[in-house]
Amino acid sequence: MSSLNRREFLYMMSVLGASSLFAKSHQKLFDVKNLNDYYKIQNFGNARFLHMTDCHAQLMPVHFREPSVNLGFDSNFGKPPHIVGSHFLKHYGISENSRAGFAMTCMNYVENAKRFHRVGGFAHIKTLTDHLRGSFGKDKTLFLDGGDTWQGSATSLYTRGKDMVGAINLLGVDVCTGHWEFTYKEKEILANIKALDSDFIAQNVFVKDEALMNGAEAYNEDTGRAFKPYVMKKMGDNMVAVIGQAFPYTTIANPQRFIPDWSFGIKPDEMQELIDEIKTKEKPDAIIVISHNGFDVDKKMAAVVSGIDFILGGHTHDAVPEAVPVKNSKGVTHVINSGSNGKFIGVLDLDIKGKKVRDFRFTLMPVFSDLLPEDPDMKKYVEKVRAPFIDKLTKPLATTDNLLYRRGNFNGTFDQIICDALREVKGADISMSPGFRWGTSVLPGEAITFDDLMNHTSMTYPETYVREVSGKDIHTILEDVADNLFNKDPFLQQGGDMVRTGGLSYKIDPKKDIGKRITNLHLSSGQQIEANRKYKLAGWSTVGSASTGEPVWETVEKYLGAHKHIKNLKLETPDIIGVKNNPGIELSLYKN
Amino acid sequence: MKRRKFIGLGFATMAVTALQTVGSANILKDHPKAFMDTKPEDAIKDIYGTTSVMKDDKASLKLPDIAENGGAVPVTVSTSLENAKTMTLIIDGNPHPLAVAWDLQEGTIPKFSTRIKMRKTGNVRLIVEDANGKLHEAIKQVKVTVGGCGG
Repeated sequence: MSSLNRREFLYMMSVLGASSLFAKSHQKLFDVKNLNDYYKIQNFGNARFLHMTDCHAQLMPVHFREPSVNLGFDSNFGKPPHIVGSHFLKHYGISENSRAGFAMTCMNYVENAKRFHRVGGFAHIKTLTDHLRGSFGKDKTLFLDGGDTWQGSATSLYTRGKDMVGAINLLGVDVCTGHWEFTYKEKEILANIKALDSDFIAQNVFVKDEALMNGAEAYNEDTGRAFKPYVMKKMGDNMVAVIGQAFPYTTIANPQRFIPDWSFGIKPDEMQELIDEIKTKEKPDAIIVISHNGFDVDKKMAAVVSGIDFILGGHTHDAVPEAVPVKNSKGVTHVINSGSNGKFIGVLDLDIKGKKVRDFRFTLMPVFSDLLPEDPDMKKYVEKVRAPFIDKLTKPLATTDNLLYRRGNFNGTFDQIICDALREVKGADISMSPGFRWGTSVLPGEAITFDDLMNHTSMTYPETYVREVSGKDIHTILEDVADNLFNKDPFLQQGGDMVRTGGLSYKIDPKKDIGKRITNLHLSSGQQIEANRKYKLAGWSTVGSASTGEPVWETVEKYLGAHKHIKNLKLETPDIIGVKNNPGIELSLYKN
Repeated sequence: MKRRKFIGLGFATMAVTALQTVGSANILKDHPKAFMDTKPEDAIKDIYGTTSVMKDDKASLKLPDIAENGGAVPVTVSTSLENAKTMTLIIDGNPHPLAVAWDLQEGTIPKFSTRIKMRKTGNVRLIVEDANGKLHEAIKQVKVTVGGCGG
C-alpha cells in the first residue's frame, strides 16, 4: 500500500469502529436513527459515489465465503486482490474474528458466520444506501451499479431479469452497466433497459457491421455503439462524466447466440478517444468509469488510458478495502472493486475543485443484515417477487455436514457436488463445471434448499451434455481455461476461475505458458489419461450451441434426493506448483 | 456520415480498387506461389525477395486481443506512408499464411477493413512496401479460444 492508501485504510477502520468494531453488534438495530452508531462514516468533500457490483440477483441476505485461493503472479504477486485468508488479515491488520475479518476473508468462516449471520439482502442494502445518500446530500450523491445484477437467482431467471430491474429501481440506482445482463435475448435486454430508471451505459459494445447493414438498431449510427457510452451527472456544483465499460469478453465467455448483433472488447483506444472528446465537449469536473473488466484488467486499462479519475470496477468479485493507484502517461487513476453478492457498498467521497479531484476517501462498507434494519418497502417488494415460487424455493433437497461454497481459483465444495452429481447421474468418467465466481455458501448443519441450488446454477444456458472426448481434448480444454485465468497479460484474462472437474486429478503450474501448464492427468481411479483414448465426459453450460440434456439443477436435485445428506465431501483440488510462498492461497485450509 | 451508409460505400470502393489493380503491380499474377506457401517467411520472400523488415509504426494493424469468432476476425490495416506500393496480410498459424495482398494505386487511401479466418492462436502480420521498396511490419497476436468458462 502506498502511504495514501494506508491512510485511507486507517480511515476506513475508524469508520468500522476499529477496536470497538461493532461492539454492540449482537443486538439488531431497529431504529434507523441509531445507524450511525455502526455506520458512522464521516462526510468528506463534495461528491459521493455509492458503488454496488455483481450482486447476482441476491435479493435475500446470503452467506458468501471469500476465496481461500486467488493467485496472482509476476506484477500482481501479493497485490490486492491476490491476497487471501490470513495473509489478507495480516496485510490490512484485521483480526480473524472481527466483523471486518468475517466480511473480507475465508478465515474461521463457519464460526464467524454463525456469530455475525448473513450479509447483504436488498432490504438491508436499501436502508444503508438511503442513509449514506441522505446523510451526505441526495443532490451530491450518485449510485452506480457495475452489472451482473439481473442473473444468479431462481427468480431472476423466472422473470428474465425483470425482478432485478424493479429492485434496482426501488433501490435508486442512477447508472449501470452489464455482463450477465447480456445472457438474456437481445429483445429482452432492450426491454429491461427501457424499464430501468437508471442509465445503462457501455462504451465498448458495438453493433456488428453486418448487422448494421441489415438494419439493426444502434444507439449511435456514426460510431456504431450499441448503447449510450457515457452520461453527464450534476453533483452539487460539479458536473461529472460517468463512462460505462461492459464485460469485454461477454461474447467469448458467454453465448453469442442470444445477442448475435453485438460485438464486445476492451477497446482501450476507443475509451481514450471518448475521454478526449468528453474533455473537450463537456469540460467535466471529474471522470469516473463504471467497469465490468475485472480488477487486473482495470489496472492495465488505468495504465494505458489517461484522464480517468476513478474506475469503480467489478466482475472478479474482489472485496478490496482500498483504492489502488495506477500511474499512466498523464497522471494517476485509482482502481476500486466492491466485492459481490450484495455484501458490500463501496463509498467514494471526492473533494472536487477547479476541475480536479483534490482528495478522496474510500470505504468498503460491509452490509451486515443482523445490524441493518430492513427497509419496509423493499422487504415487501422482495416478498412479492418470491411469493409465486416460495414453496419450491424453500424446499430442502438435502442436508450438509460440510461448508458449501464456490468462490476460489479451483473447485469449491458446491462445485464438487455438481461435478459428483454429473458423474453419478450420467454415468460419466469425468465431469466439468464452469469456474463461475457467483454462487452463495451453505453452512454445515443447514439444509440445501432449491434456492441454494439455483444460486449456483441459475442461468439461461443450463443444459447438460454427455459426450465422448479424447484425452487430448481434455488437456486442451484445461489448458485453454487455465490461460484465461493465468495469462501474463491481464488483457487476455477473462476473469472466471479454473473449470471445476470431477473424477480427474492433475498438476498445474500457473506460471508456464499455454500448453505447458497442465500435466500428470489421471482419472480418480489412478489410471493415467491417454491422449488418444476416449473418455465419457459430462458437463453443462455450453457456450457454442445449446446442449440437449436437462438443466443441471435437475441433475443435482436428483443426486441430492438420492443422497439426502452430504458428508465427508472429497474436494478435488489439483496439485498446484510454485505457490508455497504465494499470499494468494491460504494453505492451512488445503491440508488433508 | 452515418456509419450504415459509410459501410455501404466501403464495399463499393473495395470493388473499384480490385479493378484498378489490373495492369500495374499484381501480386496474385506475379507471385501466385506465395499464396500456396505454408510458412509465413516463404510467402514474404516470394513476394518481396527478402524477409528483412523494419518494425516501426508506419504499418498499423487493428485486431482484437481475443477473437469473438475465429471464423471471422475483424481486421483493419492502414499505413501512414505516402505512395506505399503494396500491403500484405499474413496469418502465421494458418495452413497458407498469406491471406490478403493489396496492390495500392496512386491516390488510394491505404486503409482497409475485412474479416479473416484464423485456425488457431497466433500472430497476424501486416507488411507494407514503401515507395522505395523497403518493408515495414506491424505484428499482433490474436488468441482463438476453444470456448470460455468466464463469469
